[in-house]
Amino acid sequence: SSRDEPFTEYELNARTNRFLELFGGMGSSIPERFSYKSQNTDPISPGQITISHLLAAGAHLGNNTEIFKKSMQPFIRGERAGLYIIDLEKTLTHLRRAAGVVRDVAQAGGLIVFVNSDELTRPHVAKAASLSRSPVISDRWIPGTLTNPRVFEGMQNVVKLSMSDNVLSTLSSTEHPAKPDVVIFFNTINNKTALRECASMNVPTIGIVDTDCEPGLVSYPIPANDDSVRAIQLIAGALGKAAQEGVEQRLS
Amino acid sequence: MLRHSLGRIAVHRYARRQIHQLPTLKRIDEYRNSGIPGLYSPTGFGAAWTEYQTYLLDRLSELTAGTDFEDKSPLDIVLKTSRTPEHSVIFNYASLAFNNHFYISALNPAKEVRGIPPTVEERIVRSFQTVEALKELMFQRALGMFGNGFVWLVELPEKVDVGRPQLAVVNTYNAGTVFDEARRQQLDLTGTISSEQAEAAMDLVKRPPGALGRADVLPILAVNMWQYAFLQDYGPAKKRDYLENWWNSIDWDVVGQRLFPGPDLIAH
Repeated sequence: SSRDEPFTEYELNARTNRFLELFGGMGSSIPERFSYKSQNTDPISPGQITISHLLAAGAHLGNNTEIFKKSMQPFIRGERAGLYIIDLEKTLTHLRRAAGVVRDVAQAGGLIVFVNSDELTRPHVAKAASLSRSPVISDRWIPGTLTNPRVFEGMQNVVKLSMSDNVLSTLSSTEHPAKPDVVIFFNTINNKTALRECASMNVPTIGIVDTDCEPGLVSYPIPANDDSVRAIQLIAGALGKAAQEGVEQRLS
Repeated sequence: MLRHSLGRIAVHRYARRQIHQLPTLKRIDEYRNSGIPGLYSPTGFGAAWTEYQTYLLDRLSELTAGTDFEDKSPLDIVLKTSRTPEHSVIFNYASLAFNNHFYISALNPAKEVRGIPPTVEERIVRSFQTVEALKELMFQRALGMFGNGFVWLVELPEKVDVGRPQLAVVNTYNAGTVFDEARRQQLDLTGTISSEQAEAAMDLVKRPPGALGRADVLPILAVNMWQYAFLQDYGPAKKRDYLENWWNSIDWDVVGQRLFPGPDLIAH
């Protein structure tokens, strides 16, 4: 604003924001505290996840004992407060196994697809997928994605990449886009169509299975709580990190 | 509390785990050993800063533990609780913690104080005609206080003739804060109040907080007139000496940083 005009709203806001940035922390010094937001920018890698992390994220809390799938019995530790408690040692081993699969697929140049099932977990899954520039299905798995593939109107720049991520050629409208080499789910109950498609097209799947889920539906189950956003953030971050490591190894 | 045991108490406090820790001053070790030469002796500095600030932060940590305010900075808490009576205790401690730190962090040992930079002097002169006039005004306001409080030099969101915000002197009694008009507590309640003043105060409370919860009046400089700040070294009768020493200990570079540099210097 010029000399004769009063400060504009923008200028006043900028003035206050500057002051708060410089002096807003005055009065005390507060030590850094853990924040879940930091998980998205730099997730914990699967090799460093401990049972304490899983416990803090609530990955051990299964569902109600009334809606239990008997094939989940090997993964249950016990019962408490009407819930089945998942054995976190099994969670950890299965998570590491799945992470190994993801890492090897990424290193071999495979296509990894993340499938999100819930709005709350959308940013976390998207961020985990972006670490290895993997595609993520955020909204809804359109039935026939694998079994009835088409090039949709909104699809742009579908390209073939070499092993060092150089563009080889673009796909024509008649060519079939690549089949994923592994698909990662975070909720098996809401993705029955997708799981069946992957099974019929021989696409390996990784998925979080809760105590009311059928572990046989996925190739590499990870027994954990699928209702906790923090648990999904943790596991998605771990798998995303594993994919990133695989990609880095491939490109180096 | 015996003053000679201050060192022991200070060490014990630092060893405790509290959310709010004593903020570091740039020369805290020096100050702890020799005070702020020209203003505070070591015990005076301990009483004005170390002991009292630790007390405020301990109480603030205790009161906010387990609540939403747990890990918020004192200024955050002040801006959020200034209008809610049920949080007035938390507000008091947070406000005083901020005010005290704001006051102390603009001080320098008197020998090392450099003159007022031209930009700062220009701004002061534009609002108060001379730096001496500002000094006298702040002194008068401080000496006229019967009771505890702070005297502030604040920057208003209005412009004076050449496009920079205007400065003013404001009193805040007890733990009042400059950021919210309704909690500035700038009415001297130790004297009689006219009905106009009372009405004006009531009007302030009724007015909603600033647009977007923004604080428009920003502090630049403060002097602590709470008794704990000067009683140890000066006693109750020598307020003027305390004020003179304070004026000679102001780090004007710090004050300059607090002033708004102007819209043309903001990166878009």
